[in-house]
Amino acid sequence: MLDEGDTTRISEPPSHYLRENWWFTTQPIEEPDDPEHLALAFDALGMVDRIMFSSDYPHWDFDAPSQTLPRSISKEDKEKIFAGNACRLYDLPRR
Amino acid sequence: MTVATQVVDVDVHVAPQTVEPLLAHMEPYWADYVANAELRLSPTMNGLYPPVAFLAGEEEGTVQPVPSTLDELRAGLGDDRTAVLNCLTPFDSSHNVYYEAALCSGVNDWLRTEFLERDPRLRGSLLVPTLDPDAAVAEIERLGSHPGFVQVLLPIRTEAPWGNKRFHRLHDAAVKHGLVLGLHAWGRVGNAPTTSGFTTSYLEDYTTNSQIVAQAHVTSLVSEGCFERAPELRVAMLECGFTWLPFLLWRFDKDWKGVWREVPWVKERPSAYVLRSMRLSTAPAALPADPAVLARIPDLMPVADLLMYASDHPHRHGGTVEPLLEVLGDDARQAILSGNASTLYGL
Repeated sequence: MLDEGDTTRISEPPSHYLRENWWFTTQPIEEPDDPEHLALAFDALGMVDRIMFSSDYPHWDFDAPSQTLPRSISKEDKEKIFAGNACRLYDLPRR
Repeated sequence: MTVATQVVDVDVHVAPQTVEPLLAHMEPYWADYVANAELRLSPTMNGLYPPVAFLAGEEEGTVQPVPSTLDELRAGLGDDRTAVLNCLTPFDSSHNVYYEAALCSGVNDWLRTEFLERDPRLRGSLLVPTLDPDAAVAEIERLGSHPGFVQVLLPIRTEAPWGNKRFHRLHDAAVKHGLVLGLHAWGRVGNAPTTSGFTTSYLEDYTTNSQIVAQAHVTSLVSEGCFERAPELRVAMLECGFTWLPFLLWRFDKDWKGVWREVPWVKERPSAYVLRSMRLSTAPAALPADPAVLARIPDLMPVADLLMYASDHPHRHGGTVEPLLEVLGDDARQAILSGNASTLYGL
């Protein structure tokens, strides 16, 4: 059984910690038949601020930036994923 | 949920309270073995889950034990639905392969005589030893043609994924007798509930065991070409959830496109095999809280083709499939409540 000290370690639903404390990289990006489904997944996760582009170069399954995110992802979200989120996390200069 | 008529419930649990009623169906040697070793049947499969957590009733004092008799089953289930009975008792019985095989046979004969031959609405899953594929095949040969058995029940916490070549003769035996392979959550407590080791908390175990480990069996069965070598093989994922499936298949199809040369026996996209040959039970249903996202689930996966209603009686995990059923049309709802199971199990 968890005692009081244990239970207070988790005061929010698990998804809260993932959305606040976790970052994910895109490669290898999922490619549903209908690109709208990827947009739906992003929306449902509510984590578009935590997703960062990665190419995984030079591995065979690397993702080229020009082909990674389908048109179903909004321009605003693409900007976050391609640059903004990583700049914030790693404190990188914005060009 | 309130269950209407024409429901097939594909995951109802029964279990003997003690080993005694099983011994009547086992060789006399095992009565001596059980007595000398003071072996007991564990109601929680040797601590796989805490018996009063999650599985507890919605209110204090309403915990229902797993039915051990037909009367208890009828009293607890509350109606006379067609049901597939799953007894998990042997999932973590022993590493003595001979005892495991004998216990499975004992459970199967107990299921047959106490339930299946007493109520024509009931069907059962055949328990087979997980450590000895030859003994598993022998048990399928012994009872697989009994009309009460429609499925071979396999745990997901195992030493090897079920698509592994060592199990192909088990697949063949199931196909020969028209039995589905039913992969059910849980298994051996000695096999990690995650793909990267053991957990500290039941929360981690519970969240990962059924939905993460289950995915390894899906990829195994497809990648090992099991549905090419045995096109009639049918697999039911029981108590493993289902909303994870579309995301696995996106990735599975993509990766196959990249490395298909490694598995030339996989001739179609992995999702094609899954959609054709696998079905999933509805309990527990991990559904999104946002109704707008919930309403899109049928876009992501053909739920009307894939899902089979299950109560998981007497367990209660919280979260029913009802919100999903409510956004579906009548035909889709009926397919999930009875049609898909009737087709899969030949009811």
